[in-house]
Amino acid sequence: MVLNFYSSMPFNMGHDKNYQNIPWPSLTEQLQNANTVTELGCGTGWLCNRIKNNFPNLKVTGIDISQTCIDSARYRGSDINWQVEDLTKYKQKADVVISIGVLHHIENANLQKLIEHTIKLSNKYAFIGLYHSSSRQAMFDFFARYPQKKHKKLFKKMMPHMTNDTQRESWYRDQFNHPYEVASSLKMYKDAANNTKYKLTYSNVNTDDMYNNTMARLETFEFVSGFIYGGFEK
Amino acid sequence: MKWLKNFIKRIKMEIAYRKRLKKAKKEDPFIYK
Repeated sequence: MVLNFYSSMPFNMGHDKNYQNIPWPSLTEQLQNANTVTELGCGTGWLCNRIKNNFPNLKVTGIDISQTCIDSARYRGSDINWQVEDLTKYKQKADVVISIGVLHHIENANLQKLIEHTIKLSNKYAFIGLYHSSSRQAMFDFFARYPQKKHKKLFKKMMPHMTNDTQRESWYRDQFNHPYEVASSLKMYKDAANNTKYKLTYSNVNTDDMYNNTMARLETFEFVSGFIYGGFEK
Repeated sequence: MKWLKNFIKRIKMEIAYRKRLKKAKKEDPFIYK
């Protein structure tokens, strides 16, 4: 179901104007000391491409289960090892392993185990971004204040930086029409670090009670899909 | 009076949005928040 969802329209399509911006300084710092990096669930490959633009000597691998996504990714960068693979069965290690917005969409899988599987694939550092439960709830509650027929218009208002209609549509359906999603928490990240014997050295949240904080941002019409990011160091 | 409170809240939300609009337009559209 999820594979069909992304094959019909890959997420985050469009021309990438900020092709050198890696938006997480903690990740950039780790990439400076790495030789290999793998992104699990690279989609259309925007992040792999940005990494390659910043670190041309780094061996970058992007894997995704969707052939359509990998075909789009090939347009972005030719000097990247793109592979159509199922990340739950992927075993090749890399110095840095990244997975952003992917593990929470894998059906019939235990999210905690997927996080740990991703961490263990890294020789040095794993960087994982997922929906956060209370933050995500705030996002749904905010939109529920408005009639459903107004959601797209509201979403457009909240995304003034997203001028490409196709890209915005791919985001909208990912947020509101996705066939499967689960949410994670800081506790889950901490447990994953303990179980794998890695250290959780970075997180953008310091509590699982993110509801009010996220709602306050949404109420200024800033779109927040509700992410938690974590950096796990060996 | 609930309608008045809601109306004032809406106005406040709109003002806050207008304040951050210029900065928001420059944000990186590929980033997940």
